Amino acid sequence: MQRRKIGLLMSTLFVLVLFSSCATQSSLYSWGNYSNDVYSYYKEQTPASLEKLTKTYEDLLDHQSGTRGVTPPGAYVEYGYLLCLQGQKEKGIDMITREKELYPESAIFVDRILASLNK
Amino acid sequence: MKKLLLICAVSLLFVSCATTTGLTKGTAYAKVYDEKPKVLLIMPPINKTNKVEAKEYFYSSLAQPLCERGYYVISPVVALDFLKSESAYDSEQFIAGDLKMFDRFMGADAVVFTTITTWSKTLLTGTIKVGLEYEIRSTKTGDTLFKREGTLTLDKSSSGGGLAGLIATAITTGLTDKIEAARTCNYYVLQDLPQGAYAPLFMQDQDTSSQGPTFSGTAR
Repeated sequence: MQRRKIGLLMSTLFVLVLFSSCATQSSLYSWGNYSNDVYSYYKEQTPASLEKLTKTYEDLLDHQSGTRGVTPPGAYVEYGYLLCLQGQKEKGIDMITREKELYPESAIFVDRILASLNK
Repeated sequence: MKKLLLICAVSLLFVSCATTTGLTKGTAYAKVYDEKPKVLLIMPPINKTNKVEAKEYFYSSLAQPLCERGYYVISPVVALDFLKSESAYDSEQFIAGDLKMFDRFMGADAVVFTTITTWSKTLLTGTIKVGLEYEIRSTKTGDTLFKREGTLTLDKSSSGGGLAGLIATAITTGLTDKIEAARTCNYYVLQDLPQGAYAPLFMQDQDTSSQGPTFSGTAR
């Protein structure tokens, strides 16, 4: 009986070790329902899918619980772009500009988007 | 009985994460460490299956795992409109072609290509079998920095079994599950990609083991 218990304990430990060795690292960012809402938007660009995706970005910008504690790459630029598509150009451009401040490496892309929006 | 269950659990875990190749990331992906790409552009996936939606499942779920690996990913939502306006969204045209324009116009250091070769669902078990190829190519040198291909079986069925389990499986294999399946594939394959500039092990994971250029297994 004692031996069986030890055996069971050992195997449990073994499984635990295995689990910890392949456990994924903690997330750099939090994402909410991002990929599902992006998918719906790609699939059908309706006012409803646009509104839902916009809401997801607002959550992403306001609540970040990832280890980096900052908004993930692309979120400001996507949110701003969608705002522009919905007629809120001033706020949209402000958001897109924030992407460049947070991620300077995005400058070439962001400037190109801003230029096309200002046409 | 318990022992049997335990063995099953252990072997499942092995299937889903272990397989030692003897390779390290430093040797498998030396060019990633040489070039240190920071900005990635995701091209629309090439879909060779007759499951039309598979392209969108993957396109919408690629940015997240790549950001989580520590890279700056150009927003696919915005990039798609831009690529369309430049008539540059046909990935097949670029997968072996010149990529310098993506550096010049978008500031991308490397371009991510994906090809979906298989997407088949088994109704009875609720599993999805997916064949995939991932290739990341430098816009500066044109070199392939990272390439992996293989098949994954996605087991999204909640256990339970019996008739009730079967019904539950049929119900839950909805839209969310398919996107989830695509995202799981992306996470699974891209975990082998060396960490990028925003991740804690950037330029420090050369000695960690690599799963190698091919993969096959079961993921949940």
